Amino acid sequence: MSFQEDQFYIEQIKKGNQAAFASIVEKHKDMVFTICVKIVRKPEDAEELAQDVFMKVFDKIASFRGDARFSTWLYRIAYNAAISKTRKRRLEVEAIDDFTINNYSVDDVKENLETLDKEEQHALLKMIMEQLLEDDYIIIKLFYLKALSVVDISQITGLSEANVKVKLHRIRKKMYCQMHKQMQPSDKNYKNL
Amino acid sequence: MNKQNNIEDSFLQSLIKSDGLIKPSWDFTNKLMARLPIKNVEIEESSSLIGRNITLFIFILIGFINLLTIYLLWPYLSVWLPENSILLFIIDQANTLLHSYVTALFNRSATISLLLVIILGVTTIVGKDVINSWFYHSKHKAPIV
Repeated sequence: MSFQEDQFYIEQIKKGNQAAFASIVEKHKDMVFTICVKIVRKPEDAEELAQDVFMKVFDKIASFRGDARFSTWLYRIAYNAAISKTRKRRLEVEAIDDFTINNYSVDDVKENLETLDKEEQHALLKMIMEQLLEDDYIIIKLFYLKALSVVDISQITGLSEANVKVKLHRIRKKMYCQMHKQMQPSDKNYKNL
Repeated sequence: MNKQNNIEDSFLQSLIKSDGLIKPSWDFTNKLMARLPIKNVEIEESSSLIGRNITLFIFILIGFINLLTIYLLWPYLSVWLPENSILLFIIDQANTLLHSYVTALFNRSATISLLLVIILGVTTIVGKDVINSWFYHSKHKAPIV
């Protein structure tokens, strides 16, 4: 399904076109639900929370001035709502662990990964993603899947831009490290995927 | 190598894109749309008072011009129309058609009205019970002994 730019829908919603709101929900519901479910954990609670988030957006859309991207604004609301619901403390940036400076090369891991077929790669990634902390998962998805900038992610999560960069760097290294471990012949973990 | 270069990774990006996102239930949007408040439809008058007054004024004006044309101007204008012209023929035909239509309408109305008046009069004079008994006797005639 192809969508228009967010601004088009926003103008329509401001004019009272509720169908445009349905379109914008369709466009962003997966990311909003992912944010909610990763933090809240229970899918039922996450779905209810995601609905509340969209209701809040609908109520406040008249006040949306367009200073930031709509998606950034929406995901920030979703992230804050999920954090508030779980009363979870925002994550502070941790120092880069030792595993990020282990003696392995990212390029080597990539080369090894490319020897796997697509299904194996996908299964391995899924397993690694599930091991990530919820905030790390969200940041990774926002950056690599939704192609949001570091500035946008910083606005969503409330972390500084430098912290987001550090986190992204660290998570990426951590993921490759995990993949590297999984692909070790002695472990034979990936064969069991 | 700076941090920005360390986070750009097209290989990882393609992998993560293929992984997709977690999806909510299939009827998520429908459930949400059902929760939206239904907008109160503001009932507005089709036209403002000024608009209605102007419309009335225009109708009266057109009617007045028509009356002036028919009763004042037409007798003078019609003199100048050639006696066997096509325009006069069309006007005559239109007049005849309109006249016959209006007459038929009045006739029909008068006939129905007259029937109603007669029925009402008879019912009042004779009485409803007597009329009912006429119908009753016509339906249940006594057998000839």
